[in-house]
Amino acid sequence: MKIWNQWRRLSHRAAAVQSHVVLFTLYTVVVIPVATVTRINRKARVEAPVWHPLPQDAPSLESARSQS
Amino acid sequence: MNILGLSCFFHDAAASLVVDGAVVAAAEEERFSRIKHDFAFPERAIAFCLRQGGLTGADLDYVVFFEKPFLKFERILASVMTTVPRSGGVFRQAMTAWLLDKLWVKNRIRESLRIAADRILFVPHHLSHAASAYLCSPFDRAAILTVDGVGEWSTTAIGRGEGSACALTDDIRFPHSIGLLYSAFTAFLGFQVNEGEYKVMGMAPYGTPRYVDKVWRLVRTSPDGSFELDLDYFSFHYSATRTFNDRFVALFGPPREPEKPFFTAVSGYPSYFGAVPGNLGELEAENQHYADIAASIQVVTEELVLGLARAAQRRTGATALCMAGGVALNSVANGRILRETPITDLYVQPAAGDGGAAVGAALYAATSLLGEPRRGLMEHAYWGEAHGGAAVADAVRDAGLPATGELDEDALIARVVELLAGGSVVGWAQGRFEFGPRALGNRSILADPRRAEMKDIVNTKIKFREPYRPFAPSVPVEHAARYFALDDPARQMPARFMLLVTPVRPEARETLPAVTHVDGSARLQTVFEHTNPRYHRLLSAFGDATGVPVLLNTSFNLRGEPVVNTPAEAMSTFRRSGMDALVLDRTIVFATKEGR
Repeated sequence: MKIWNQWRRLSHRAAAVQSHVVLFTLYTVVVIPVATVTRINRKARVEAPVWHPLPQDAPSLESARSQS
Repeated sequence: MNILGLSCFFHDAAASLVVDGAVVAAAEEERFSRIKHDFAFPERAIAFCLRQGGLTGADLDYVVFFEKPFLKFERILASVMTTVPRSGGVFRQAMTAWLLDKLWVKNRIRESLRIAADRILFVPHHLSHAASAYLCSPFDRAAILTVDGVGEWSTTAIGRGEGSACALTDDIRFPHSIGLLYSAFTAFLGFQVNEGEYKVMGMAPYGTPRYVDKVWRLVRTSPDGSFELDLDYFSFHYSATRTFNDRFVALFGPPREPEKPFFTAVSGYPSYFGAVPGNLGELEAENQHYADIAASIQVVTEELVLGLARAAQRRTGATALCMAGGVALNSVANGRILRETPITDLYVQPAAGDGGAAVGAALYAATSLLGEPRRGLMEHAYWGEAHGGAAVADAVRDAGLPATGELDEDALIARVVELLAGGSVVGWAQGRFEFGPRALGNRSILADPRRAEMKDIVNTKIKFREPYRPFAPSVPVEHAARYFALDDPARQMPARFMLLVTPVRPEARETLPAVTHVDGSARLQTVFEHTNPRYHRLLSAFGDATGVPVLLNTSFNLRGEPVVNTPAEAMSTFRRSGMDALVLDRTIVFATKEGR
């Protein structure tokens, strides 16, 4: 049990380090270049300070099943 | 039709059960898990709701989540992209949380409740808030205003309700957010975001709003009520750890140190802080600066909310307004809406924050998607769990403290009035616990508001909380106008839920020193006989005995803990505090033999 708990603690730490590395790499290699290109081609998406009209579709179960 | 509403993964996870269009149960997860503002998937709150309705997961027709997770994820990714290269921390934190948990909410619901995928619905965040306000209100036609930190993209939305339909027509989008503006100041003033906002509200009356002009540099408004933050002063949109930036600090000075004692020349230096420091004047001046900042952001927030309320009224032509979202818990702003705008009737749901959106999502699905009748009227907040005599008896026996037997109601009320009038602080737990952040007479700590010293006693000996925070009064609705400047109190729904700050009548301030805040206001609770007969009776009996039918009412918890749920938790809190007596249903427990 003691060895199992030690392994769990160790693997947890290793996973945390791995996720840091993977996400840092993803951010540097993918997010930064894509964001930079997007910014060059299109003004950054910062919404204007006005009321945005919302779509007035009739409520439906179908749209409510969607997560987006 | 049995519909379960859920909110979770951000703050204040909650579940609610709606049966045939009527709310049957609603509770935040924190009351069961004992983790304040618990945002985890609300397994325990769901179990309670099903228990309360006599149902199992298989009996549910639909489960409704309070927002659209993919839209929210899209907003987070877009924010990360627009703030590159400063958004690395947010990206790492968001990916970890979303990839592990938040994106899989549908699977989580399916696993937890064994329900088919096509029976799981998603209602947009602000529409859930809107429904939680309008569909629970008594109005047949009303304007709707939702204001919080952020949902998917919306931070603020306006809409209208008519009959059993409610819809949002316009919104203002992230990062322009009143909730996030207020939270930035909450963090600056040394409090925890999503927890300390009401402390800022309590601190504000100790200050003078001398920095209003500076706060207005951070936010611009338009005559149509819309607003825009100057993002040059904030970092919440790209930082995982800080909500304001160095420019903000250059404008307002260094942030207040968390947990540093707060006192000003007005509040005085409380004896329980220990020996008076040598540099008292210097510390008072420093605290006054922060109180002035709190007063300034409070004033600006009120002005923004008033502008939005007026805009909602103009767009809909309705004079009734339903409000929800975390900012609707700003009870000072709510009071000003009624006094200073064309709005004549206001409804704020008792759990106006994200917890309440679980109710809104379920009610919206019931009425707008499934054609159920509108039966969601919420004129009280007692939707939580009740505990029977056996649980009380066990808690009393296990504690081994002096106690009465189970008293009849006449004897119980008479004895509790005697204790309160004699200066005792009494824990009071009865019936179903309240939904939302306020204790409204079912999980309350009660004291005599005529005694000025009660404020310090309850703050320091009982609740161990900051001394500047005010206590609320409970009053039978028929006596409210005698003490508080409130027209037609029965009509003011937010006052039922302690969500309305109103002036204490000048002639009553000396009578109620323990519940009159430093600016002469109070966040009162009006109590109705038909929604809480025993508490109403206690207040009336206290009035008969003392001439003042008002009690100091604060939530039954210690600092940093959720409000109690079970008799055992009430007993545990009682034993760790300086309360004199505890009422568990119809049994009174005493801290000492002498007290009995």
